[in-house]
Amino acid sequence: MFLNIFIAVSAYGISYNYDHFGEAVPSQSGYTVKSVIFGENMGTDSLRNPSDFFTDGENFYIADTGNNRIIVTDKSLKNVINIYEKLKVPDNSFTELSYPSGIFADENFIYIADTGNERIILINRNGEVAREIKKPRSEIYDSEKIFMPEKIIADTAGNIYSVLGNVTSGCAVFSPNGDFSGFFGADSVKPTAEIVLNYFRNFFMSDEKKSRRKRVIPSGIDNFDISSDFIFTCNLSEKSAEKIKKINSAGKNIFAERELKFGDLKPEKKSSNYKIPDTKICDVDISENGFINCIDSESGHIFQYDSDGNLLFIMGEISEKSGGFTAPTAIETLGGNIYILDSRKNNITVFELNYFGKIVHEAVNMYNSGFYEESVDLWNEIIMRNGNYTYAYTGLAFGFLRKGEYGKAMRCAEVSGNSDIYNKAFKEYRRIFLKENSGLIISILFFITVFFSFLKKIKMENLTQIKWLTYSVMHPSGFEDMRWKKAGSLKISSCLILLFFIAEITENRFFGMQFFINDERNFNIITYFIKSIILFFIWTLGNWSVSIFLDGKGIFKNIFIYSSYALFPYISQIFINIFLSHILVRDEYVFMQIVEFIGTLWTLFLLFSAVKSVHQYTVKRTFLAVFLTIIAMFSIIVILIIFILLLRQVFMFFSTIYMEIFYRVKML
Amino acid sequence: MIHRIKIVFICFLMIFFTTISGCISPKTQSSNDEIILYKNIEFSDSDELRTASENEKFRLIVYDKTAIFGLQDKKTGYIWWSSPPEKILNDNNSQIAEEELNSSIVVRYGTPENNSDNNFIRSGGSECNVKISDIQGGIRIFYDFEKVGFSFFADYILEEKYLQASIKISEIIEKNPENIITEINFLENFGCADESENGYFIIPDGSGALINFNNNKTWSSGYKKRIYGEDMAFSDKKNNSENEQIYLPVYAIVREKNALMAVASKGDANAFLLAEISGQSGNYYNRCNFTFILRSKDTYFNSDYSGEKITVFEKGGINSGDIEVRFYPVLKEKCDFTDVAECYRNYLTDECNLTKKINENYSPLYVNFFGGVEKKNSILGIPIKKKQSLTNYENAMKILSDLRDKGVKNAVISYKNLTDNEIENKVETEIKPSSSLGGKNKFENLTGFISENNFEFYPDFDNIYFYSGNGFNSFSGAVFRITGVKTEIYNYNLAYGFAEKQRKNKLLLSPEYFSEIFSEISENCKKSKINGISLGEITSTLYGDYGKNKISRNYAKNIITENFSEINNNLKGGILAEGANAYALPYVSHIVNIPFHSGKNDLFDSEVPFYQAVIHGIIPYTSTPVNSDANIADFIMFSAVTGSNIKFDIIHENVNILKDTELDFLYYANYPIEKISEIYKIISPILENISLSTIVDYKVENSGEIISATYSNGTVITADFSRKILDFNGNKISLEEEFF
Repeated sequence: MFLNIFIAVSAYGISYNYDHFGEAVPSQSGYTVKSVIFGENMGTDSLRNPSDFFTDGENFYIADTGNNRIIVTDKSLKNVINIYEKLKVPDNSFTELSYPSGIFADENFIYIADTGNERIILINRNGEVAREIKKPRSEIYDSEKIFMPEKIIADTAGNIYSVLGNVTSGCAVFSPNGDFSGFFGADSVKPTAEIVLNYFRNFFMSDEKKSRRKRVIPSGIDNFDISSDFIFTCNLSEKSAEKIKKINSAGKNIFAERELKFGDLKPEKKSSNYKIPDTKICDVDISENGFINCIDSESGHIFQYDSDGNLLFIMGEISEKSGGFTAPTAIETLGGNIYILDSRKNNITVFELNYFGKIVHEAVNMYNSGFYEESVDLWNEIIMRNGNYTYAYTGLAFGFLRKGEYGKAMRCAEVSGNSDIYNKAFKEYRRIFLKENSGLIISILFFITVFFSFLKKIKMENLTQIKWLTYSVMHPSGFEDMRWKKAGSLKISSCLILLFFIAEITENRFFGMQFFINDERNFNIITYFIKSIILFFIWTLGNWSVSIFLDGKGIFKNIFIYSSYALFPYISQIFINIFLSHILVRDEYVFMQIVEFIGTLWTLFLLFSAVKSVHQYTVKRTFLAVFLTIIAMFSIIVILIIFILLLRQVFMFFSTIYMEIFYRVKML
Repeated sequence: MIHRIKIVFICFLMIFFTTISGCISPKTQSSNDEIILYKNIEFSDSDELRTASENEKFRLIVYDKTAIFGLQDKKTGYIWWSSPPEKILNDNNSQIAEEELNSSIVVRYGTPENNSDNNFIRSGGSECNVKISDIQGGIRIFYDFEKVGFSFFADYILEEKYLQASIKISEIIEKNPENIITEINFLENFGCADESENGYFIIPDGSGALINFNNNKTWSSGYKKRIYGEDMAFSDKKNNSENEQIYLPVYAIVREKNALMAVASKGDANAFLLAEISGQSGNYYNRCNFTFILRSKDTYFNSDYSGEKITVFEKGGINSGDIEVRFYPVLKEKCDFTDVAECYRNYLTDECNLTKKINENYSPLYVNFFGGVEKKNSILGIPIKKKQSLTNYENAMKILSDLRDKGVKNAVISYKNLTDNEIENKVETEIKPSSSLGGKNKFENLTGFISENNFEFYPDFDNIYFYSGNGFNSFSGAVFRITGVKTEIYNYNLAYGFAEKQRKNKLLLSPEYFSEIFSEISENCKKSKINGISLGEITSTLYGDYGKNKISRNYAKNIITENFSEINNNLKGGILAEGANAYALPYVSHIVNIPFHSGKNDLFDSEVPFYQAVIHGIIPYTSTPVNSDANIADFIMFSAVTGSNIKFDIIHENVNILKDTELDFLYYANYPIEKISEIYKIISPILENISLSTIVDYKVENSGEIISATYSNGTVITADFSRKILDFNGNKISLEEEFF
């Protein structure tokens, strides 16, 4: 009667994944809710606020916290095998559990974090207490704190690890015979920008204010799982970038160097007034095949990653529906299933790997064990079922690369946004292309050289305006000559500035994909407008205002023209690099850097000489002028920002008034 | 004075019922006991309980003092009480509980002055005067809520097959201008069951679901859902993650031997369905009922910064239609949801002109093409919108001819986004083939090909969500909320569920324009010699317009049904519906996207294909697209069991192209043609066999691993999900997961 039968077909609820750029896209689900199991389904009465459970592959052990008991069921969760409430102590008396909130089991013992009784106890399968661990008497353990074991695991050697509710310096470690041996996996406080800023703020703050501010404490461990020699930890702390850590026996986080992101990603464009909740990972579980499964108690989303931290699936939600959670507290995996314990609904939700999930797992396992070519067919099948599955394109790109189908590999790498693979494939592709078309390329190169050798040297007499541009750029005293001849055209300089703007955009949009792949969606033309045109105007304005104080001879128009001419090498450099980015690979990036360096240096020199000639300064005075110009530019920017902020305030004020009037009128 | 009478009366009742309580032990109710119960009361005090009306099958019994009445099945003697009669005996209940249980009506009202919306008053309490009078065929109860200033009457009339309870909206009197009536919860306790009883409620949420009495899920909040889906006019900035709706305004109470079906025959457009189990919110009974909204309300925030929430109500008189609920006892020994479905189907055919739309041996393949989509391209960073072809007319023809060559005999083709305006999401009434999809000639080739092969063609006009253009914009055509702002259809962030501005918000088309638009479409179809149309989600979406036009959901429903009826008469092929609410059923020829699951509310104990059981054998239907599912083999088996035809969403271009478009959910639409025809060859012979039959039995075994359905022609279809074997009248078909 209490069975919750749901149709396992026709997946429902959230089904999304993240693409390479961190954008949530609709996606086929890998898991389907199979059943929801209550205490009554197991053959006992309702659970009450269960807070942890564990499976050793044969049985499930549930810490039924509110009922002060431990329930052991079989694999199916349908049949209770044992319930531990009263435990036998060696002196034949009995002891009871009080709010047991952590559970673990190995072949010898069941480990219970008996939180209410401030102890850890190990019992055997007959319910007899084998060991009892009380508050450690140690220098490193703060004796004033009560002992609050909340979660518990043990390694193969029998060492016991326990998360303590009131300790943030990592989890407590006990030797197999119960002696306290220290803390493990502590997080050090890293000098993040906020902390550095706070340090400076402290100088100006009153003590009262200081005490009110949130203290930065190292984020502790809130839950963990053990898999072979590694302990995976998670913490609820919002600020922590390392939401999941893989800690080796030396206490080092292996995930630290890699920029892995766990949990939901923040959208690039935050649009509405909603505060985006932080991911709070409250439990982590490593499945038999090494996949990392974790649950976010805030959103109810379950995330599954492969052993390298690549996202595979997202499922689950907070909702008043079967398959949704209200207070998910623990996650376990067994076979193809994921189990979620909910402490408010008092049930366990079983997610079953569906067919799509199965083929993804198969392909990922193949891929991670190096069978790239063999996995191609599977990836193709995955894409046929879910064209939005980014990981599959990466797998496919690698497969094609190994197969020697470089063109295909490049296309797949492009879709998956993976420029590493694109680079590799392109290198091979280029090698083959060069080999096949060597004759053609040599002849093109020959013609280019011939063409350039026919170009004549430019002389100063009777230069057209366009030739003045090349002249001023190519000659150290070009600007001086320009000034004497009163050359320089506003049209050309305006074109140059426009070209500068276009170059900046083109660099973002049309750069070779072996170097980086950009997300079109987050492209904002305003940024580039500010970076090029506005910045240039600020320079001109700054320089002009400085020249008033420093007796400059240049008028605004001339500063504008000369400075824009000076930008010519920089602009050319960008275009040359864009061209090069399509024929070079990453190893040859140094050539592009050289081009960039020359171009930039050249422009800097020209800018300097432009300032010098336009204002007829000495070298020393020019240096001063440039320095002051930079300061002036900063001031202009600050003023602009203040102005914009003010404008926004005014706008907001009026829009509020408008809204108010609008509603009042409507309501009349 | 009234109080004293009441107390004396209650004392009297206590003594009176204590004497007979030996006979009324509800825990061991058998049909015999019930007759005794009734007779005992009748003989001991004829003034207390009387027969108000009677026909061949039923008797309406009234208990005048508390205005409780019962519907008795004469054959079995079983009485369906409007409130639990044994409650009168129970003296340990608080007064509120008693009030609650004696109440047949709960009125909710708002006081706009105080910005409060959650006040209620019960008919069973001392604040309400109740008067019973006899009318033709039943009784009329007059409810006078003096304190808040409302009064109205409800008629309870016994008809041949059912008890009809109704309230006339025009007769509701509101004397106190401070209070406005917003909601009437009608017959809250009708047929409620106490904690000792076994049975369940049938809830038509999505495909259908069952709630067992006393299922112990007291931690969940009660079930409450709007019939025909939420009112889209009040779109929310936060996605409520609800993904199923109630299509049919019906529920049923099934006890061991007796079942009762309740249909909201009027006022359904404004009704909510409620259910709760014993132990929930301190309630002793399991109950299920309708509540009717008389005035909609809306909330807004004073300004975006202060965050004060203000509730506003619909202005003026009550705009919603009359309320009428019919209670049909299901006269069958062992009743399950298929019997209730039959009863409801009979109601639809007898009372709502539902007729058979299906032929013998008919099981078509449903193909849904997507023509084009608007895609943002950028030239040097300047975004430019471009119409991207997904399946042009030639592609569609090629796919269809491939399917024909591979053995598909019958196909129903719907085609979305096939004109320029459709691609741009503007309101469209003409069939102007888009040049980006091949132009007029190619389109005519396609329609020619379709009619040559006797396939059915349904071009899709999805107009209810639109962008400004083509004469429709926020000044003319869009729905407005009660707060006076236009309704916007938000795009939600997939991960966080809040409204996002990645894409422009759409507007909602006001029902005012439905007549104009629908008749134009049907004219244009006729001109282009197209036999049928699909109208997008309009068949399953219902909303009002609360701006100047003042269109209630009820009125919108009437507009829709009138127009559907006209289209249905005009076009031979009729309407292809994407999900269909009950009022649309008589006018649609095909229904696609009928879900296989319910809304999975926490209270539900199991899911049943109730909707399918109602319409199988009447209207051909499909489930959601087969290729969208992760377990295609299971999906095929479930389709066979529930008699659902199969539907595929198809685009010709690679789905990569959908990135950053509004169709990015079609990640599955590149499913190979060979597989489609294979699936068709498995399903179609089975469904052809049962196309005119109804579902008469449905069994779930092994915690859902084996499901079997029996059809009225004797066909039994069994799906074994663990072994992937489909058994059709003894023919075993093994489905290999890898293939599909």
